[in-house]
Amino acid sequence: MELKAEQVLKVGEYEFPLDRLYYRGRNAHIWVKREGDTLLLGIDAFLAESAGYLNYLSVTAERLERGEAFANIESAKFVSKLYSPVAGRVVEVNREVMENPRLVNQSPYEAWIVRVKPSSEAELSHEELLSESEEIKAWIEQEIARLEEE
Amino acid sequence: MRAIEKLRDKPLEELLRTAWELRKKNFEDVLYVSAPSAKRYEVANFRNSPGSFVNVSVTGKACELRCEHCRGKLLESMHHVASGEELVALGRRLAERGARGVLISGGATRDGRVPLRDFLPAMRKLREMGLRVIVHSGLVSEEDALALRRAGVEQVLLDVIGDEATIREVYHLDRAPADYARALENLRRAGLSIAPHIVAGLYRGEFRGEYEALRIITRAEPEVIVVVVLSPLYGTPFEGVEPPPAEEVARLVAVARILNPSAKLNLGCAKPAGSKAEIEALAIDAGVNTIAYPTEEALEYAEKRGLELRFSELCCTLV
Repeated sequence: MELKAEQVLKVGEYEFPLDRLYYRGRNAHIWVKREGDTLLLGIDAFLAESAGYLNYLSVTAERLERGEAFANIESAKFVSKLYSPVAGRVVEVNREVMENPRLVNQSPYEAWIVRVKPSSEAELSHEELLSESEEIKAWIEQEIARLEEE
Repeated sequence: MRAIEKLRDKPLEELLRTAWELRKKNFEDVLYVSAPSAKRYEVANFRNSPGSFVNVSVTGKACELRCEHCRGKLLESMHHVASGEELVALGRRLAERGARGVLISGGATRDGRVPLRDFLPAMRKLREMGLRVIVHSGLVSEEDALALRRAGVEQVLLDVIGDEATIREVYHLDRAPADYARALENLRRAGLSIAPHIVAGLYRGEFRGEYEALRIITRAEPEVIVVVVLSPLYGTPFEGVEPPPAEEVARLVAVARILNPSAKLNLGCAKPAGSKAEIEALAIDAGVNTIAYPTEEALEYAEKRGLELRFSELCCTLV
């Protein structure tokens, strides 16, 4: 569903739809979107853009722990891990994205990576998961400055 | 049939066994992991730091050859400098932040050179700042090789191609394998350390001149040999090309180890995504000393084979 302009936060060249949460823990840049009683996890626009074209993505965990790695990624500029914002169980892996990780670069907010059943509702209410525009903006501005520094 | 072909045609298991034994005999039980800062690299026990060893292009994104497998894409993520002054300024910033060195590269001219001449005084200054300086030279004349030496360049990296059709059709270059042999000779005669590279599967994923390239390289007695593997890049004519099978890459690495028992042998940065872990594991079996940006799976495998892991933020040729 197309979001209205006011439902999308723009920071620099990066867009952040406000229909989901953003995990800043471990500089993970993972978004979380509720869908029924499950959560979809994906990579935000900042990571998708700054990593360059993804050429490898593999999910390495079935049981997720908050702040622990759940996937390996490799791109033109990164060989790294993705960290989970929640504890829970992976109930589905997006095979299309595994086979073509560039979908993440093309549409970061549609190319979800895993569907997760969270351990509890409390998983969605910790301070590293951001939902407010001001918080997201402040964090991404810091991240842009860090990237320029590198 | 020449010796190299006889060796190549042996069963892979036999080649791997011989290569592994040579590695055990001539080197300590260590796998070096190279992770310069061109990529952010993070595995279980190691994370590299930004700006530790950076790639610099002296032509920006421009390249006159527009090779089929690259089309200038590999230049995009490098630091770009347009003059010697800009290179010195970049070097100063890097040195202040604690960088170890730079790989100076760039797009090629129509005759297969990287236009480094205008940057030689700046390279000398970078050395004086304490940075290590290595270069991609492309095909290099005797005169240019001497100039690189005088500029204090520590090592020269060069892709060696052993097949004329590959040179012509992939690199769009009117040259022959003998020109690569001559370039290596020129560098050697100038007293430079050389790190020749072989790109496995460069002819649309097929093996064509790889063993001829290895023959040329072996004759030059390099300190280090680097094998990289064709990785089809998005947005190039090779985008849909099937990379070479992991076993064929392993065969090449094993033959390289057997022919060069005491040279350092590395699996470099470029490896195709789908078969990366498999290629790395087989390359370990074939006796490589260093792997650039290996997968976690490869690190686990190396430890299983009794190799200690040592991490470095230098380019693999300097490890």
